[in-house]
Amino acid sequence: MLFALAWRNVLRNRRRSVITVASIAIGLAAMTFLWGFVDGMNRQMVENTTRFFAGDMQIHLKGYHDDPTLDSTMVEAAPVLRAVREDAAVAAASLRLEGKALASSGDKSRGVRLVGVMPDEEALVTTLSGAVVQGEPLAGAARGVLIGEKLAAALKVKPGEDLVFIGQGYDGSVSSGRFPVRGVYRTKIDELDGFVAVMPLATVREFYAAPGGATAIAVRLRDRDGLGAARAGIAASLGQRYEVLGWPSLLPMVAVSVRFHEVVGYVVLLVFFVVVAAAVANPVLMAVLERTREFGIMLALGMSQPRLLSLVLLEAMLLGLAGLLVGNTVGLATTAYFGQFGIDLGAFESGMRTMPGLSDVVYPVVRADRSAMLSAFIFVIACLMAWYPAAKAARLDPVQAIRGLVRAGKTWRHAGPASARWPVFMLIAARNLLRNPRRSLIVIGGTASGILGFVFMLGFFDGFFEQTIENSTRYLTGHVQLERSGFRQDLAPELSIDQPQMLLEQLRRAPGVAAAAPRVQTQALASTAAKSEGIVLIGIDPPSERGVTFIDRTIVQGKALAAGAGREVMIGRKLAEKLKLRLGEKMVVMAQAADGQLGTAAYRVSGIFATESASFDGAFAFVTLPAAQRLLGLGARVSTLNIRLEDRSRLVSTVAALRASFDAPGLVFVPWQELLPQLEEMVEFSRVFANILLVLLLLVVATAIMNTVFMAVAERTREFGVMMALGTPPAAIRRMVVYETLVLLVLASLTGYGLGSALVGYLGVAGIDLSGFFRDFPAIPGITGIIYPQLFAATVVPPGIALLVAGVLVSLVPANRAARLDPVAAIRHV
Amino acid sequence: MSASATVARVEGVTRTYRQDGIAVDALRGANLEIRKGDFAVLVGPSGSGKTTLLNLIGGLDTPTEGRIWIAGSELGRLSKAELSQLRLRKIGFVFQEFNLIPVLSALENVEFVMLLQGRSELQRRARALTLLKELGLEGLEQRRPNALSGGQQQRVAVARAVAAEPTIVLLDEPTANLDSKTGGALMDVMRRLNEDQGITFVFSTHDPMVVERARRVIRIKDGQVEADEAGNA
Repeated sequence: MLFALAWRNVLRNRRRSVITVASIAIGLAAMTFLWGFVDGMNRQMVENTTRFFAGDMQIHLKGYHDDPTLDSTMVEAAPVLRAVREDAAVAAASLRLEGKALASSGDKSRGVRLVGVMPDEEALVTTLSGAVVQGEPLAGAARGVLIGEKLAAALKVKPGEDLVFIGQGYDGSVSSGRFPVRGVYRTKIDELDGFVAVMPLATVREFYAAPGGATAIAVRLRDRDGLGAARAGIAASLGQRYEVLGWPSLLPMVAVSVRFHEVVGYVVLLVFFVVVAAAVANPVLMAVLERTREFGIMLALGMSQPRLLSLVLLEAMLLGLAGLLVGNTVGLATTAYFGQFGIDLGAFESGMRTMPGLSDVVYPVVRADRSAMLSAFIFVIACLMAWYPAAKAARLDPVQAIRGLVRAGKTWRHAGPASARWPVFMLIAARNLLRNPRRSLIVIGGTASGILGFVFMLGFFDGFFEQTIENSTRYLTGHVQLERSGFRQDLAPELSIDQPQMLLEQLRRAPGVAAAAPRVQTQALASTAAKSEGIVLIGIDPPSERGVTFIDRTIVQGKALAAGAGREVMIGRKLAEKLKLRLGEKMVVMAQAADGQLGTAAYRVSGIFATESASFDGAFAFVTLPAAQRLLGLGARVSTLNIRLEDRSRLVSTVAALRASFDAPGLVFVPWQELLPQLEEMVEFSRVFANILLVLLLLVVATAIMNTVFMAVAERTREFGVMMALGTPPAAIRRMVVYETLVLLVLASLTGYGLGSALVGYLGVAGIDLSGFFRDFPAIPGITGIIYPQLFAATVVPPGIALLVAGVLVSLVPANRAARLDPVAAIRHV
Repeated sequence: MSASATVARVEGVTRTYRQDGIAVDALRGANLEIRKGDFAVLVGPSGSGKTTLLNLIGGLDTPTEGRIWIAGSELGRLSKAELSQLRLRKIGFVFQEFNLIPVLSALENVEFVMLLQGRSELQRRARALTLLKELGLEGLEQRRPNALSGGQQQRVAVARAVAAEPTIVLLDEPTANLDSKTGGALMDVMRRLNEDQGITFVFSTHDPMVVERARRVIRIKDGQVEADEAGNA
């Protein structure tokens, strides 16, 4: 009986029910799509990066991952491969032999990873052969090498031309060979396109003199989500001699990107939860509040309080379930549609280009567990929002409720008469807001939550971008680098700058330049008695450098490099670990000098630095500028002049002014975006992501506003009918509804922006500590675990104006409906 | 009958509604003429068509067949905007449920229609205060509807209806929600306005007390004017 009554109540006031269901459905659909988008992006990144070459998992001899040398070759790999293939979780596995080599063509050479694969078996595990854009993929044992397009460009070779490889064999002998380029691939992953050469396994085994050997077994799993269990199972069956590594260990940049998306996704979902909760709460609360009289009648007829409470809750649950049905249908259908056909973000190609593995088209993913969680959340919110007014309704005094005195008693009074200066419809609109203060507060609260949500979200993103850019540029690059054209491709010492002192002085006098410092930068080999590692050696002038970067402030052991310390070196913590170096110990550095000879020098470790980035800490070493100049035979020449600007936001105009005022043939000013393309692209991509979120958020808030105005209009149908009967023109009715919306939106904006600014202001000082999420994940330099949100008017004001305009525009729909009411029917409306 | 004496004419008016697919005739070829200064009641059983007739005369509804003139204008020829203007200038309404604008005070409710007519603040304030005083609402001008009794609210509604100096005031069961004493007092006030200012009043009612005070009684039955006779007053 109670259920039948609840069901009929839901059907009786269809408009109210439709509005409530629509509010729930839109919130749910938006969140479903959003989560699907984040999941899709992550899956695509992992899918592409693992499927191109890394595989879901790799098996090596223990220690190979940390120190990938031929010393850790599995001499007889076939039995291991058989054991791996027998595991039920494994879809395919293939052997690889991988070593370091120098690839040369004419006078160009570059250090590469030379990988031997069995083409037919490899094709079951990875898809690199599918990424070939010139020439042909490998086939069987056919001779030839597959290289990435960036390597091909750096070495200036095309398919059909030869490459010479030089390397050190398994037995310690020097090996070399000439191989034709068979094909060129493009994965849009720098590490692959620039530094990996692939040949048939047999050829590479012969090259490295390691018959039967393999350094890795690449594995494709039947279900990548089951990585943890599969890894444990295979590790247990292979025993202690082997290491079994999943893709997050193999591809740390991808792992940190995925983690970054997830963390940002959680922050954004939290904001959405608040906004959607408010959007759902509005109509549910209003639907109960406007029925005070009806509840009074029920109580007067003898319905018990618990039954009334049950009835109202049952209605809310029915509406909630209908909302879930519609929301899931719309959300899942939209997500599935785009999952099938993709969302083309090609317009933001600069932002998408080298996010590892991400292509221009993102395919959102439908996941049952996400939908279940979101549905449960929305359903609980809807029921909770109904609980409070339902409990109040059950405690009503029937007589007062029937007379409508309950509401009358709570009305805010306006003491004075109408002011002649106020248009009467503005006055009515303003008083209508005070007439039902609870409803107005709900609406203002809901909309303000939305505004607070996007103010926080944009503050979070802006703060994060600012911080990351500032940190990254201050670790290494500065804001602008002056270099000889082409220098960055291989850090070739011969591409140096003459008369740097004169240019430096000129630069330091230029308007907008805060500081400038000279540098020598080169690729080098750092060796200790234990090991050798490829590094980037930077020669700095410590006093000048302090004006541009703050690498000296990241010292964790020893001291920062001082001017004149020509025999000292400052290295990263990770490099110290790799080379097993401690403070005071010696490191030998070899590099190709400007004249083509090999330069060698020994330095004593005087300081060890640590940033948040393990990859940065593992690859850079700093010596004094004269020491580096001596090593490379540069004389007074330097590689680059690095510049810090007074105001980074004026980078474009300052660089343009520098370019115009400097007459330096062959030299180019390179802004940080080109020096740190990964950072620039991450920021750009995140901005695209933030804009998508903003659009979704505004959609939810605008719909909530429209629903609320619809409900307010429906509630006052009779009043509008009377006004029309009295001769009020439809345009005036429309205007009144719009005025009401406008007043509500202005109040909500003031509240939302006020609270949002306060929250961002507070967190901007206190910081949001997300370091727990990033623990154990090496990151690009500059990404910090503690984020300090920041507000920029240029970012947060336009969405507020957009919301105001959108709110007024959407209120025109119910306003037009009110203006088109039939007065007779409206006056009869109960 | 001269045109100047006729404020409303209903000629062969039929109004058919469709309810759940079934055609229901609320009025069937009704004919009626309301003259200036009338104090007339429409009486008849529930569903006879009284309210429909009032709504049609007031330009709130349109007839399925037949024609209606108000102050010389044929309603069927007017656009929605013109109908709205006609209601504003020529017709006053009083409803059974009072239907005051809840967010406006008694004074502002009375001023509302005059404001729509574009009268100056001085004019409308003076007229509203005079009317409220005449209707015995002095001292209650600043109260909102929810702070007034039913009788007081209905007197405000009457003041609002006559404030704009309409040609005709239409009242749909104005005393139905009032006790007999309050209802009687309200009728006396309207009768006085009718006699002193010559305002035309047409009521629909079931209330014998209203019928007793009418000068003209129009009996409606089955959607037609069954009888049109002089009242007792």
